[in-house]
Amino acid sequence: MSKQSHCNHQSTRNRGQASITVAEAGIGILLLLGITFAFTLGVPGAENTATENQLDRYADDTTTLLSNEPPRHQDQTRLAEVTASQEAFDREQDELADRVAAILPDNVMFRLETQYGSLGYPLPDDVTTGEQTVLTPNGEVHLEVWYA
Amino acid sequence: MSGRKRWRDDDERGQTELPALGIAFLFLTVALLMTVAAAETGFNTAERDAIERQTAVSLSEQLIDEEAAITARQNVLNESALSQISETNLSEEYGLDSEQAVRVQVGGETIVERGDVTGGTTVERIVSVESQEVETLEPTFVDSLSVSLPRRTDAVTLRLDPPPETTIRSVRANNETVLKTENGLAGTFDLSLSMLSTTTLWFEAAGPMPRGSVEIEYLATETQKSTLTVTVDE
Repeated sequence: MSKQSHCNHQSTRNRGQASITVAEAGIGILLLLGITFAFTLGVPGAENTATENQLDRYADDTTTLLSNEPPRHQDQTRLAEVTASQEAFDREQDELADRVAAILPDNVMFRLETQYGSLGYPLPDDVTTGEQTVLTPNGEVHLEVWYA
Repeated sequence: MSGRKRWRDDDERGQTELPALGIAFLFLTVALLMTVAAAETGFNTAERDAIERQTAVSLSEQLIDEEAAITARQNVLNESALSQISETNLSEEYGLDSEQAVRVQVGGETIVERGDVTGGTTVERIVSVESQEVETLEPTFVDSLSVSLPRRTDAVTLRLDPPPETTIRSVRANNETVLKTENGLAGTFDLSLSMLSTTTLWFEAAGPMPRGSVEIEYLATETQKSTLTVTVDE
């Protein structure tokens, strides 16, 4: 009888058993590493804010420069001229598109909307944009810009 | 006999060993410290970036404002006034911290730099740079007694020196009469014109008007698109 129990007792001792401490420590370290990566790699939204901010500044500056430019024909400013009527818009839109493209940096695309129509490039779906709306005596002009 | 057996069973049951526990604690503590350090660095970087951006945007707004020392109008810089910003008035007039390193460039050229700027946050503004030059024109009147100024200008100095047999009776700028007399105009006159369109000067005179009778000195304004770049490094 004693011999039997002695054999059982020996096999228990030599059974390969993983230390539970190592397993627990391993899980704990993985958890902490995960949190560390979250802090070091950063949150993706932060970069978008900086880009949007810069684009907003571009839009603001462009509308300011356009608002203060002398018109081609009669109205007070170039922007007021383009919102005066549908035919004024049709007549002026190419020139205005060229002018906006000349003002903005080369890698920035734009879309300008007035009540009579839009000019510029089509707005892509998932891109960060900056915008500025300016009021002219004849209506509103909305400019949206994004990086190409 | 049975008591001895039970003691040996307890001894070899799978149970936490003290060294393993100590090492596990050590690893976990190290990992925890790394996490806390990363979190703190992350927070500090985010805060510093936010402050840099806010300062840069605020400074750029002040510089392109129409009331600023270097601007002629909103978003239009006066080229001759660009030297008005210097390192000393960066903190006084523009409200900058004396510890912040700042660099302001116009069209790629640095106009003021304080401290050591390596990286930091940059804000770009679109501006026009206006430069003014005095140009002189001595027209030869071929078809009519009129001359069109090639540039829009608002300040013209007219020097009238007609030959003795000629009397200049009036001078018109576009449709507006600016000088008129019955006795004959001669001498230097300063005219103030409108910038809205180019000006054509019409002269009404009796007698020949050779070249040199009229000398026009005008201030030609040239504008060029440029960018104002403000970089702030905390």
